[in-house]
Amino acid sequence: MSDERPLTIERDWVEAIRGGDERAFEAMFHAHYRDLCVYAASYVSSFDSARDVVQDVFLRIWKRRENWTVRVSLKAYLYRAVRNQTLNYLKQENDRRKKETGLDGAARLSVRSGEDGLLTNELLAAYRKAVSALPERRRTAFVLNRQHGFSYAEIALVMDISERTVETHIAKALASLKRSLYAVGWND
Amino acid sequence: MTRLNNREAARYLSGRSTPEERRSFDRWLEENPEHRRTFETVAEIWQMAENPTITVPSDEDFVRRDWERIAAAIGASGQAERNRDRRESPRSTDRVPTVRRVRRTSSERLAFAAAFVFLVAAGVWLAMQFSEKHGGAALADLREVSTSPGQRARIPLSDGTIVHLNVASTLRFPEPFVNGERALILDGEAFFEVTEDAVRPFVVHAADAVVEVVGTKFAVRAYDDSDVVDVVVSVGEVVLRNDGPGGDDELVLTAHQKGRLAEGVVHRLDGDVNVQRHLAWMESRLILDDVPLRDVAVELRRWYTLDVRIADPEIAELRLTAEFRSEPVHEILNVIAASLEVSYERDKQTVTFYR
Repeated sequence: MSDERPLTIERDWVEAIRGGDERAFEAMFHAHYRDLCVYAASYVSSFDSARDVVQDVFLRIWKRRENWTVRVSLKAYLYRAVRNQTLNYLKQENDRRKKETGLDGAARLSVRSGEDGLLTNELLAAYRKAVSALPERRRTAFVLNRQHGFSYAEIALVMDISERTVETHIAKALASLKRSLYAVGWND
Repeated sequence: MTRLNNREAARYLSGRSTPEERRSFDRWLEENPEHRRTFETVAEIWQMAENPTITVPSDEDFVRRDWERIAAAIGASGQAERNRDRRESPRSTDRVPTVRRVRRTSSERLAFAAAFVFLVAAGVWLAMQFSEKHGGAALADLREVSTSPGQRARIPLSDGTIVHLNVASTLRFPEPFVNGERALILDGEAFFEVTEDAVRPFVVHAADAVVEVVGTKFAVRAYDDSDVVDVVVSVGEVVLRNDGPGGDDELVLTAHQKGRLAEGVVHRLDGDVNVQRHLAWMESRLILDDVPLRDVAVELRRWYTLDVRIADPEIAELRLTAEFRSEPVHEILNVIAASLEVSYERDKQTVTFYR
């Protein structure tokens, strides 16, 4: 009971920004910046890095504003741009990231012996580690839907795939998360 | 099938299942307690997933600071400084909108040129009044976001405010905000997290009420089928004012207070308000506190698209207290029937309660 419908096209902003309207650019920034940082942070190791990545995206848009085109949804465009930018950033930071958030991360969690499963905040921490260990496509589809409230149609736009494939990614994400959490002693 | 099909589970949990798929899944759940147990594990992950994957810094000001970096980089630094000065200057009192006493005719139909088509609704009339009061911001410039039954939405506004829109509700607002004001029209229910801006008051028009704030978190409930408007404040302070017939009654509400506008009069409800219970809908929890069955029927329609009828008038007054969260519909109906000692018959989306 939670799918959000895509918002109406923000054509006015795009048109205005193409013409160099700083106020529209600022409005677009304020409307999306925080959420984009939270989204970027699901990829990169620190919130500050996430902010840097998102700022880069906005600066690039401004630099190339005269030729800027958004085809269906501004929101989808922005998230797609941020996703691409973080993937670029991560290629450069590859080794460091693997050490911090890879599967090793999940295995490092200790299971309390003699008590029933994990406590709530431990569970949340375990969940977060499990999400960051997901393969990138599954994580993107799952996080955009559950955490950011994107509809499957919007996710399809961001990832350039069909809605059915979005569904597949989300289903597989659920399966992986279940396995990761069982592996650290949840719901035994 | 004995193993949980994750694709079907995800469809079920996100409300994308067709009625046949839902029924088939419900049957699978009932086949075996193990099925239900496995499903509940997945449902718990589903719920947990609404949490951010990182701890978001509580310092919200980073947005403003980061904007100033960008503004400097694009050579708009003059503008950034002007904005900062504007935000810090005292609020101009002669910009408070005056309250006009006009009667609401909820059946007026209005036609507009261009590509906009509006349904007959009190909301349209209200939008006309809105545009007159707020510097003639043309109706055509208002952006509209609607949720259908069972659907919620999270809407970021151009000033950084976040609006959480509940089921079967509509929000209308100019984008970007104009005339030094942040004004919107709500039909239904929403929770507002308003960014602080002393220079531009945030004003919500909902039915006959006007709620005005500087920066705070509060919920407004003004569904079309109700004669009252409820406001619950989570953080900060709001002014709730009558904007319909009957006078300029108004009241200041602070955190953990609930106010109600009914028949032109605003009053504060007594007792400490459990704000979280009023916001449970944001977590897909439907909380019913001593609600007559006829009103429960209305909620069921908004949340589950059910057409609920009550065959025997006496049972319409029976009161229900219950809490629901992601249960399948048949379970919800069973709980209602058991609590009130009534029966029901269901044919697809039509449910009839009787005794």
